[in-house]
Amino acid sequence: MSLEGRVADWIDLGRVDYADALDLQIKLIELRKSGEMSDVILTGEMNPIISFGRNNANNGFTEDFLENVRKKYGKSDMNAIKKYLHDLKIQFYDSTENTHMRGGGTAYTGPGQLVVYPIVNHKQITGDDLNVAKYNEIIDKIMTEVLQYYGIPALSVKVSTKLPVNDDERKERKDVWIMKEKPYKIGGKALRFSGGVASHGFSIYVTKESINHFNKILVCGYSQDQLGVTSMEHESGIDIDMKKVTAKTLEVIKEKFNYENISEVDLKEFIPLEVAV
Amino acid sequence: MAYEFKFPDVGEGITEGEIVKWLVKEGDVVKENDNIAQIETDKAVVDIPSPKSGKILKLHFKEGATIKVGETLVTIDDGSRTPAIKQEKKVEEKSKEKKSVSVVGDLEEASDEEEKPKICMPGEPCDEEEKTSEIKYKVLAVPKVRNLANKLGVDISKIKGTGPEGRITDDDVILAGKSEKTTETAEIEPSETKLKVVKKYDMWGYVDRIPLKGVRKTVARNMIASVKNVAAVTSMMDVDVTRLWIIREKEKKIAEKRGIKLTFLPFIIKSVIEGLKEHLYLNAEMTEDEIILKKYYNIGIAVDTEVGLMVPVIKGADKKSILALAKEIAELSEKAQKRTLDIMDMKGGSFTITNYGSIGGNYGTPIINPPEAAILGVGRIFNRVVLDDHGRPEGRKILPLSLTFDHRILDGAEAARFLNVVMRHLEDPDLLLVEMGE
Repeated sequence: MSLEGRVADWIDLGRVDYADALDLQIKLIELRKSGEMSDVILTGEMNPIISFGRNNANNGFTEDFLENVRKKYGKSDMNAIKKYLHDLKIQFYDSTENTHMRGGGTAYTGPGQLVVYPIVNHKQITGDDLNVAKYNEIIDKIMTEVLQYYGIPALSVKVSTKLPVNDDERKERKDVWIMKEKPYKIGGKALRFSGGVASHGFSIYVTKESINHFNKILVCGYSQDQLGVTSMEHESGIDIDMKKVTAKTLEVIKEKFNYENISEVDLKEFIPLEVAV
Repeated sequence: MAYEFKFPDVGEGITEGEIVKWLVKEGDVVKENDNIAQIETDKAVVDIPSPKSGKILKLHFKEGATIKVGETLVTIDDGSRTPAIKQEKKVEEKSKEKKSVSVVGDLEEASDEEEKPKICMPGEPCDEEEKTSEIKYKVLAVPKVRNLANKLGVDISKIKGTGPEGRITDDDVILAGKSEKTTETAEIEPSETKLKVVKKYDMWGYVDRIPLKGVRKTVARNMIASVKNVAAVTSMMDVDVTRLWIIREKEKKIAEKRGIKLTFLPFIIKSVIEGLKEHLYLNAEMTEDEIILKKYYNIGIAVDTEVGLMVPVIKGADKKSILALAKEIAELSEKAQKRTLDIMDMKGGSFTITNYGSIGGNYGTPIINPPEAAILGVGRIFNRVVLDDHGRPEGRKILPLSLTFDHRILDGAEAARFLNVVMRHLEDPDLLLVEMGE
């Protein structure tokens, strides 16, 4: 542990494209690895995008959605799907075609979801050289604490569900769920560890609008009768202000990551480090 | 010596991972801490760094396969002292043994010989000292216990286990840790507070050490890249700017009324652009197999700031008036000083001017700002007495210029011709057709 208090920077991205946020993240990860900057927390909202995760077996669309694609384009191959999504103004990103991939399966990210990317030295947070489980657990705690603050009974528990793609394969996954007649997802999580730096992060579905397009995909490989999707507004029955959720989330991060302070910085302040001659 | 690198324990409850991608292949030579594989555990993709430098002998799993914690991921040859065949055998024997025991509670058994495989957690030392340890009796301990010993800084090979078959338990390690502390000096810092020792002196006297980071680091990197990759030649020339001096004195007052500080730099930029229009290879860039001639004139101006040199770029400088240039220079300099430059303010330059004369100095050997082909250094204007056409002495204002160009892209003759055009325009400012409008 450092003798000095640890601090972090916070950059609010506002509404951005997934690809732009990813580009920025990749640059910041390198700067964090080389020690040119301290931990940084990115927050923001994404323009609508459906992305494939690393695990192709868990990438997929719902039958209803594919049927709609077939009705419009006569077939439902990836080209037709991409065209159909394009018509709906939903972007598509295939993580498997990219060297910088994230874990997990299909995901929808869009307006109304609070996206949080902590780009941090995970050793300082977990106290271990590489402790994926512990870091995962801390992220879960942050998510549940934010949700519980709004009176939403979110739990970080192991859920066992059959994968629709392969019935023999039964996997348990620990995640943040709202437990009802079936588990409901109220956020997403995908992490990456490289060279002592953890990146990617989590999202919380805040507004009702935020889960509009989940009916199109097999969420993490599961169909909707196995796994539901809900939002903070659905669960709490009140309108929720994104800015307040962001502030609360940062407050919890400060505590869980043990920062003395998190200060907001302008994105531009980082840039001269990279391109100045 | 063949070294078996086992999939490390990445946290309680995580017992396996899926190999997403190999970043090396058999036969590759890797350095310590190079990433060798991407492995996905629940919701996380983890880059696994190599604990050793050496040659990859064997990848034990295919992409897409599931590996359990403690199973061998790769075998690395870290400089062979023992014949490879013998090693292979050992590896095989080891893997046979492995199959019979459960993985999570897997026991590490050190052989009598040197090449005991050891789980090296990334970042933890797997150093020479341990290998040459003189005590060579069997050490039985689960990885959890070994990690604990590492954390406490206890040499596990010196502990006598009290568990079944002499296995070392948590308690053994803790006890050994305590006794070591009491027998050794109490001054030892706890292992977690790793203080970086910074010497405030060298053998000649006291010194200050400034960490290399930020803009300074970037400048250093870019300059070295420039010096390494560019065949730089510097050519110098004195320009008589007496007439320009007079014009500028006059126009300065008009500009001031508009709140614009008129320096010589906008005139120099305009003259340079005239030169670039005639001599295309100075407004160029070289790639591996071609030279790119740029048809735009984006002029970078080097600005000295507290944190180091920054080069904001005036885009489309050929289309801007002298006053507009003066205004933009002032704005960009201010942004650089305040560190509010946008990334785009610093990109897309085709030629750079560095005005060290504003601080002092006549000539320099500026370093080219890659990937550009040339850079013009501008010195301080000085007075010189010259003889006029009738042999009478006369005071003149002289501007010293230093042009560094990339000899790969152009030759000295063209650089000289370019400088002649620049000189002609600076000496006869009427040629510049000063547009005072914005």
